[in-house]
Amino acid sequence: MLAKVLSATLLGIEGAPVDVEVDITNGLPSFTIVGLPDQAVQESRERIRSAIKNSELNFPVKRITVNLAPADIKKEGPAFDLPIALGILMASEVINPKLEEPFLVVGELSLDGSIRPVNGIISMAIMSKELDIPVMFVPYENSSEAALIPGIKVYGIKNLVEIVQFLNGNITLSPSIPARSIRINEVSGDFSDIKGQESAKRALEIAACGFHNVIMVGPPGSGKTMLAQRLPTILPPLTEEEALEVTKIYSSAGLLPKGGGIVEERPFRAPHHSISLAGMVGGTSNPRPGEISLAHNGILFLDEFPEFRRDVLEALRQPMEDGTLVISRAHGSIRFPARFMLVASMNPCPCGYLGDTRKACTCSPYQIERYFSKISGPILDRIDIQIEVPRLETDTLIKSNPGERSESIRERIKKAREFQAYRFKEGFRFNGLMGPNELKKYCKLTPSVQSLLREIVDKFHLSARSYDKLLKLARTIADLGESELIREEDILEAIQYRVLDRKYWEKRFS
Amino acid sequence: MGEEIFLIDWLLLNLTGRYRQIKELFSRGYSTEDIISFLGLEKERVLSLRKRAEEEYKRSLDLGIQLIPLSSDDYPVLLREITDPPALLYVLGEKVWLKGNFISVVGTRKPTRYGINATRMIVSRLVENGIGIVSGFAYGIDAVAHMEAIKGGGYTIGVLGTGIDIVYPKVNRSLRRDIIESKRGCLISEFPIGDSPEPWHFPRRNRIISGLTQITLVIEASLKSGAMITAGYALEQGREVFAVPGNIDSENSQGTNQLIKEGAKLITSGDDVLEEFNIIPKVTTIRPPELTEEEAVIWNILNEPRLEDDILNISGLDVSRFNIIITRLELRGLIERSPGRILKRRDG
Repeated sequence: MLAKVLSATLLGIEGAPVDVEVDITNGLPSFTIVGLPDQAVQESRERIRSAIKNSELNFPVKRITVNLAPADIKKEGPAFDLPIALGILMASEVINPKLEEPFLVVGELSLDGSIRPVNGIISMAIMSKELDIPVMFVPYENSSEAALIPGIKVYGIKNLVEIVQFLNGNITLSPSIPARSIRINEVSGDFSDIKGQESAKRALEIAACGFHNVIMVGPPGSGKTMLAQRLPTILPPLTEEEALEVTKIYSSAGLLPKGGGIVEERPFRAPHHSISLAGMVGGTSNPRPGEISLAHNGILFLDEFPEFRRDVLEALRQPMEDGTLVISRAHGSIRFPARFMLVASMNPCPCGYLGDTRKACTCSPYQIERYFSKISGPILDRIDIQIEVPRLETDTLIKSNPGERSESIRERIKKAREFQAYRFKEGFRFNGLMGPNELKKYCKLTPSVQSLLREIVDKFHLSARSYDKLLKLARTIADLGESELIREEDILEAIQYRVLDRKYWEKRFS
Repeated sequence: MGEEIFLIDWLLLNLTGRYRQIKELFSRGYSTEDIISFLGLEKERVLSLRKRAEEEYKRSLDLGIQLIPLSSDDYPVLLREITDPPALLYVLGEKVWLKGNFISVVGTRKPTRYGINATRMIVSRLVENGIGIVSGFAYGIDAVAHMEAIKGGGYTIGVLGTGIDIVYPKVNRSLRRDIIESKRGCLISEFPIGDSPEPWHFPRRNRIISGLTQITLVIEASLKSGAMITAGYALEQGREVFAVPGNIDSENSQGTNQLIKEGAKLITSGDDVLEEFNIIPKVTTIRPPELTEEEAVIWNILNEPRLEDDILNISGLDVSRFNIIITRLELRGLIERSPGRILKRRDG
């Protein structure tokens, strides 16, 4: 007898439908799975056999063939346990579904017949909604996550017996309710925790407003990490669409906390500098999201920037430009969203004390030259804001005013972003993402501002590239001041956030 | 022809490295031939040295290097007075030591910001008043001293620890070009053309630095540093040692503080040095900049170099406004910044 159960797998972070076909015929007892299954799927035969037996159901002593269609995509992981088991029970007529609507099943089996959670459930729920499949059976622990998608009925299943009885119409279950919102970041805090560093805080405010990438240069212990960690607290909340995207990514990576839920916080990812290329961009033969995708719609903080492997840093270039990352593998290419704000930090020299008031730097000029050359020009070109974060003496810290609270900064940014959104009428974009055409269109200058800009370029020996960056920053500063025109003051302020352009910095070599 | 043979003799003498005896014999009025024979070298050695000397001579012509033997009127007078002056100097650039007063400025290769600022401050003041700078062409204090001298339109001499044609340290390549092309400075060396930077060259080179001038000024040096060796030579040669004091907890100031303790003159400004040369310092015109009210607030706070955060706190301005005013002052060339977000007035 033949039975068919609908299930799903993950391609990158998107769900893809998989038909599980089970055929039972007479013959020498055997159990074969075909259709590009990986190791975890092959092993599911043992789990299924034990689970069915331990649920006191009959495992047919016949010739069992399972096909996972379409046969050309690779099936990974243990999520097919439950659909295959159901297929076997349906083919051997232990189950006669009373349910009339089509349904979709995913779940991993334990040997005792209980059902364990799987990754990427929200993507599968989105998929089944798109395919008009109104009912989903998912592991109980995933059920509130799947229920986040309106328009489909989700049943959370605790064990094999439960779903068998439900399908046979012996018991009733009530559909799951959507999960609450959840937090994914470990650290939080408030901008008012940071004393002093006013200029750096202002620069981060501008960055948050225009989605500009930032690099902070400063000695160890100057507070670069503390500043970066508090950046999510001033970013405007995720829109509904963004939240769903983030949740999908975290769900498919298996990073949602137990019980799942919708992510309402902007991600903050801070991978260590020993990270591999695959860890950063996503990898393995069936690609999983890497750090840059996990930072989607949030912040990617790279501490000790020059210590990262060269290939890892270079791989950031494409996503920094397009906001997505395409990974090509033998079985096709997969697109991951990766629109993040890069916040990098580095020491001013390998030992970290160049320019410090107290400690002498022990690096040779050659070492310093080499340290800086680790960051390639193309990467630096994509970083609009470059600031210095010096270590403050206790004395300075004591005299500094307590900082402004995140909440009031966030309010200002929200307003400025609305101002931006109003300007970029066709689809919402940020100043940081403006290309040369937008720059020409939206950064018009009055003659007097233009001549000031020319004077600045001459005086500080700026390149054509940094000229563009300067304009972008000035645009964001003007937005924060809710000004339609770029004013003189905006340009004058912007130049202070471009330290690596400035010649004084080169004096470090003497 | 006579000139050529004469220079080759001196090149030969220089290659023997027996400076003490050569100086002794030369000062008694012996000719180069006599000096060579008095040195008691084996015949074969003299022959091989002569061959090398002839090659050196040819290469010096090819590379445009000037050769100044001990006997030349162009040889630095003060250097000739020491007990072991080089028998011959290789020179690239202008022989600027003929043009006035010089002072040697030496210090660590790894200066703090304080050391760099002090060097700039003192050197620019000296150069402004016509005093040239001798230093060791290393990086750190040496490089800053040379650069500041060139920037101020003054004279400078770099004493190398390598052959005159070797670019060392590599990061000083542009400084090397600046010195030679400015026509206001030169590089000199006692080492044969093409000699690589060997560790023992540098202490030896230091005796020339101190030997070229009456005064050696030490800015930032740890207790065991090349600058302290130079100071030691200066005392041996009967010259004077000046030093810039520093924090007692700063390793880079332990050497200079030690020198002061032992009697070196304590220097806190360029004018302290000028006094010694009996030069009455030029009065620098204190610019009365026309400033807006806000600009004046910041200008007045900047009576010494300060950290941005400190200025901000004192001024009570809001960051955005503050950054705007800073740029304005920078644009007008009234203030400048250094790494570590330090701002200071541009010295008038």
